[in-house]
Amino acid sequence: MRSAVRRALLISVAVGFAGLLAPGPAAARTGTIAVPRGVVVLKPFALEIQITRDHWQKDIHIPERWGTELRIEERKSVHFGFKQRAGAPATVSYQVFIGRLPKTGEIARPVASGSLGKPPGLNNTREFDIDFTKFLPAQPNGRTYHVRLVGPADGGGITVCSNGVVVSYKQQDVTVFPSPSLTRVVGTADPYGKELKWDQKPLLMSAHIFRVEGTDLYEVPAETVVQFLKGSQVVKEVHPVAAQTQTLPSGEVSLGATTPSTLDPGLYMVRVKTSWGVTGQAPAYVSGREDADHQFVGYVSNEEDRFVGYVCGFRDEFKGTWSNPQYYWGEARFLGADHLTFADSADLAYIAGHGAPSYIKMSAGQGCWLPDTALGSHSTLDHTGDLEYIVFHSCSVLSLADVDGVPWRERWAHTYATRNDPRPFSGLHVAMGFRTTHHNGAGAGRWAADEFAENLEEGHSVRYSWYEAAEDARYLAGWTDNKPAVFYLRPHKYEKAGQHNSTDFKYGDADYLLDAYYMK
Amino acid sequence: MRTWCLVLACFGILGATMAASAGEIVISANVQSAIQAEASRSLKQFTLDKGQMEHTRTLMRTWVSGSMDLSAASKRVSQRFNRTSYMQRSDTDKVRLPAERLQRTTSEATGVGRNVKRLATARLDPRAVKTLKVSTPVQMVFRDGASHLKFQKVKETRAKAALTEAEATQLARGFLDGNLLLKQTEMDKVGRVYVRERRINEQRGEGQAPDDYLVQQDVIFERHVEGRPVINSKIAVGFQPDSKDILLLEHFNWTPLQQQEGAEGSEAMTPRFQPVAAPAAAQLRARVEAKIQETSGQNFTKAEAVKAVPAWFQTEDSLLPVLVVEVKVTVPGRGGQISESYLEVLNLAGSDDVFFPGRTAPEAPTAAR
Repeated sequence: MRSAVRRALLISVAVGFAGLLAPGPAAARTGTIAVPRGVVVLKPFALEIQITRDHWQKDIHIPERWGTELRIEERKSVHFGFKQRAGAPATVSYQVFIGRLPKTGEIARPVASGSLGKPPGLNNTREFDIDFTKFLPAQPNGRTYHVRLVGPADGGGITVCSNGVVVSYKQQDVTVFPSPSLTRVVGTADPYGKELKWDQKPLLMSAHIFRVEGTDLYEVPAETVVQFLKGSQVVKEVHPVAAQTQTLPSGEVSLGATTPSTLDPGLYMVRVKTSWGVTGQAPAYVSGREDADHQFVGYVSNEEDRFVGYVCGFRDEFKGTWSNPQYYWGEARFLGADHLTFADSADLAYIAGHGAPSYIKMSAGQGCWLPDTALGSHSTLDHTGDLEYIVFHSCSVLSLADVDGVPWRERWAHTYATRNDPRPFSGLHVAMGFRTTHHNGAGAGRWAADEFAENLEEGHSVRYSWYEAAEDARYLAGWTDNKPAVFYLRPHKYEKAGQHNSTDFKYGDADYLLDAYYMK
Repeated sequence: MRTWCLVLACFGILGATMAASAGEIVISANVQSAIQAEASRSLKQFTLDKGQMEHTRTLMRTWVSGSMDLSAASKRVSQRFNRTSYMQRSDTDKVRLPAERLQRTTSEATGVGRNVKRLATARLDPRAVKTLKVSTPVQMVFRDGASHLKFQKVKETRAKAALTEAEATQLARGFLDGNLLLKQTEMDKVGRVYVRERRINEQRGEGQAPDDYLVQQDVIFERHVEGRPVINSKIAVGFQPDSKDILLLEHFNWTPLQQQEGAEGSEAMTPRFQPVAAPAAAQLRARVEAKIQETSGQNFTKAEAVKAVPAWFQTEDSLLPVLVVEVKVTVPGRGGQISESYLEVLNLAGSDDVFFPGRTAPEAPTAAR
């Protein structure tokens, strides 16, 4: 009982202090109004703003409409109304705040306030105007203003007695139509993000991503295409790749697109066509046969009939999987001067002939010293080589022994000293063959060739496919040699034939590391 | 007119003959001697016991089931090799040690009548298979062909040290014998055994020595019948040298010889065979020369048969006597002549076509423009 009395006394003291501290009715003050914490917000009035008056527009009747939000574009007086729904204070005032309404306990200064006198009776409505011209700036400032009703509370405080309504002072948005413009074309990036260039022009590698950058290029993605022109003729269009599209810090848009594999290498003009028009043009050089197709070529030395069986063994099995545009008697130029037309025109080359360390007889009298050859997309400046995999079904071509004091690795790949000389691994991924003599015996050669094709078709890595094929066939050769070896750049160690369009590496790339998997 | 035609035809034949014998073919004395010996020998052709091969297949599939779920693995049928390949990737690595033994259960009957044989069947001992969780999925392959069974786990981890050849051979032999995967008789048994290494040679950086390391050791068992090698038979067991985990198990053309009725269980096993009429020495020499000519083409300077060894070749049904001839062919090469050796195999029991079953004649390439 004593504690209940003590609690009642404490509450009455607290309420008394609150009453002393609380200011009088808002309408009577121009200074800061503090809304004391703990005041009950009854909201007996439903406050609304008149959005449209009842009027006629020519012969169309526009009824009056009320709501809780109104946008005005010029300074004017605004009409409000409120209806009493429950017990109301003796007098009522309005308050106008910039931005949001103050929370309970928060101190905020209204930009305008005024007494509305005695409120209407229960369920009755009173309308009034607030002259916004007195405090709005001359031009729309884009801000919102909140209006509410307050009344005196018991003990001298105030009661918030309505909801808030919003008046925003802003102009109608003006539609600005996009105006696409092309700032630059960015060549295909190398593995480290550096742009590839050809004769100072962006170099677009076939089947790889390049970029076009500018403004208003991607307003309607479905209707945006990158066009390639020869003269004034559009020869190809490609859609940007959505996942490769990004906004640059400058606000420009960077569109990623895949260079069409069907374009012949050469110089083109590039532009972007959008639903808002076409951009200007910029030059770009399209190169490379890193195309989406899968091709292999087969070359046979005319020195022995068994070589026909080797290449034919592979071809018979694999031509149903990849296309085979070339099946020729071998010539040294296929790997040398004309490699772009021959070995480097496809993704895989299968060659059979007599061999020696880093040396292949393409045909009688036509030997090829492999350290003098360059194979793959980095074999020429215009990146038109395509070859990834090469098989030398021959003796000893993949020997790991030194030749004239030069280690095998330096014969096949570049070093700092030989970086400007030809070497087979100039974009090439994997070279396969034997590090020892190869015997055919009772058909080891053709067996290995067949088996290699089967392994590729089963989806094993290229490296595994060759090694296991050669190893499985070895026993048909009797009891000698036929020890397989595979040279590969490390990123391609587990690569399957279907992944031949992966990045090609060259000297200077951190991953340009030539490894060997071999039978000792 | 007729005379001129005859003269022209003679020149044509002469030219063709000269072109065809562009290089010299030499049959060495020891090869000639081997040819004579084979021609005078009574040859035979053995019949194979396919029931035993099926038993080996059952055992091998049972063992493989400890690593792969063949019913869930992706599979591909090869018409060319008459086999089914199963491929599976697993997030766990089943370590299969050579000490693992299949548990023998009941026995199954094979054959009919008096020739019924009881073959032990087996089941896997799951406690012997140790399972490890691995971060990189392990790729496994199993090939199931008519006479070719091969399990392989692609796992290339650096070995700290190699097993000695004796140790590796003992482990492999114990595993094969203990699981009935190697069947021998007095006449048909393991010949030469040797160990091959699979190695990786990694580039470290320019000017630095490469990192050359061992990843797998394969023990290869060759087969001898009557003391002569079967050139296309082998059994291979590959290990990761540190853990001794079996990475390769291959059973290739090693079908036991069929025993004569009633010979089973007797002390001297007598395999079933058919006598083969040996070719005459001159005929055999002519075949060797023709084969060398056919294989060596038109551009060699010399092709010499330097060595000949009598051997066997296993087909799907039988074991055939063959003669293996080593030929050293010399062709013009970089900065002079290069010489290569290759082997020719001649079927002494008939046509050489048996070496290439189901194979079509290769289509010749064309000349590039």
